[in-house]
Amino acid sequence: MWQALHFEFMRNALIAGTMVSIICGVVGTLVVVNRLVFLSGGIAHAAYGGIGLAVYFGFSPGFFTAGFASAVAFVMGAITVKDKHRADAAIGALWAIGMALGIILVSLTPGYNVDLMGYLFGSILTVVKSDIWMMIALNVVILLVVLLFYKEFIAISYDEEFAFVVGIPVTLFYFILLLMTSLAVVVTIKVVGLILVIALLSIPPSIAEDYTHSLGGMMLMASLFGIFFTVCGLYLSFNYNLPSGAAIIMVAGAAFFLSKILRWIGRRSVSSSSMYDT
Amino acid sequence: MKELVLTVQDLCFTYQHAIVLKDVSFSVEQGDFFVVLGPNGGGKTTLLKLCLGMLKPDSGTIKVFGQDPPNTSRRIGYVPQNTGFNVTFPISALEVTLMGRLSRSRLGRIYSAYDYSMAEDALKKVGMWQHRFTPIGHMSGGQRQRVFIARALATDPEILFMDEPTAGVDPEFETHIYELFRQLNERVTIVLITHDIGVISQYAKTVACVNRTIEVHREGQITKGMLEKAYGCPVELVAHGIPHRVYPVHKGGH
Repeated sequence: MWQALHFEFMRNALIAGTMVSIICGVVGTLVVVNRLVFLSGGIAHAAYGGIGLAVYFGFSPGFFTAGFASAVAFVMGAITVKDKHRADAAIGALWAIGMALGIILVSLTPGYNVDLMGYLFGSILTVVKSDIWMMIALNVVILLVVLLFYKEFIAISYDEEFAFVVGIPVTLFYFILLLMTSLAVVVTIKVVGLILVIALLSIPPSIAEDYTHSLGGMMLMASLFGIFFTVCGLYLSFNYNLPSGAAIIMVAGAAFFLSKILRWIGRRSVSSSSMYDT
Repeated sequence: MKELVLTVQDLCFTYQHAIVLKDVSFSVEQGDFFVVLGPNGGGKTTLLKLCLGMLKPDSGTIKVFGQDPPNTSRRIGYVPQNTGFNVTFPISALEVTLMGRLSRSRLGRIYSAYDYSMAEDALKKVGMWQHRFTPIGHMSGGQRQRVFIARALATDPEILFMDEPTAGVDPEFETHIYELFRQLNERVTIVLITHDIGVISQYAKTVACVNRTIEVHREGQITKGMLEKAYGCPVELVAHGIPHRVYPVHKGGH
């Protein structure tokens, strides 16, 4: 692993992985407790429409995709804000429509040969300095927003109706959360690809949820888990010549099931020992 | 006449083409202990949510302290119906109670020492201070309900809306909490939904029967006729602490 650090692309990959892990740990925690995992998957896939538009019209994909993903997120938000529990069909439709739009536009682009696989499965090893600065800037903004409005985010996530009654602008915060989610999704696409974004957003917070009882603790733990998964994934990717995005997700997935199984065994042994106590 | 803290006029509300409330008009005076009763699906909770601004009426007006509901939130306390929602959420009793101290004008500020002391006071009143660090998911339904009451108390409201606040709590605590409400009622107006007839006979100053329409009885007395009209079927009335019982044979119930 250490000799890998001689390569600049590897150092960049590690920094990018760390930045994205923190973003996903913080935003992913809010996504998981607000049950927005499916919506986040929808944003990630629909974002491909933005990539298609950018390529077709010759814009820079980064900012354009971020704008497009945010717009899609706001449309999904407008649909879900009325009835959060019956919005899955609309999200599913937008998910596929955005993807289809991207596929058509990319195929219509003359002489086009941008690495499609890079968007689908990530290309952390091609991260450049400007990408890293973007990730750092987004990290700072997201951490500031979440720190500043931490108690409001707890309130709207736990009991939206009560938050409304005491005067919190619930819908505004919901849309701020959607904006943060779509920006997090776009930078995470660079690391693990749009198909696997949903895993990095949901797996670390889901593991953390079992070991902590505060939202802040969950964010911190999820970020650390995410960093651990990306470092391990990059190590496997480098040593065994595996696709980096998929390797990161496989490590995260293995940890997820290991953690759930350990907890299940732990609970069983606790309940059987307490049976003997009484 | 005392100041009117809540006035509702010609209120109509439909949900998915079904009329939930029709031509509802009533007012609540400052200092009232206003008890709302009625059958399930009669529109009690809907009426409360309309008063809190969570739902918008199809027609008619609702004024709380002379203003449209969502704008008066700092003076309003709220205890929702305990439906066991979000019980896996990573949050402690203290954090839930502190939510009562939130307000629009203090967005983005951290909780002050005063906020913490109000939350402590509220948790002690409901006997949950020793469980302040317990995650909400590790509590029984009754304990969670007490925390919701503490959260509303922490708001330090001028009017307190409660939707079956003692559902699921044990009888001993129920008596305690109603004594607390009685003390609170010396300065706070209370609007309370309950099915507990004993509560009404002991604490209510005004009783309202809601079943699509409203019928208000200022004396705080309930009669068998009122209940039968409210529930749409014969009801056996046993006052003072013992719950009422619905007759097994229903004739012409709606």
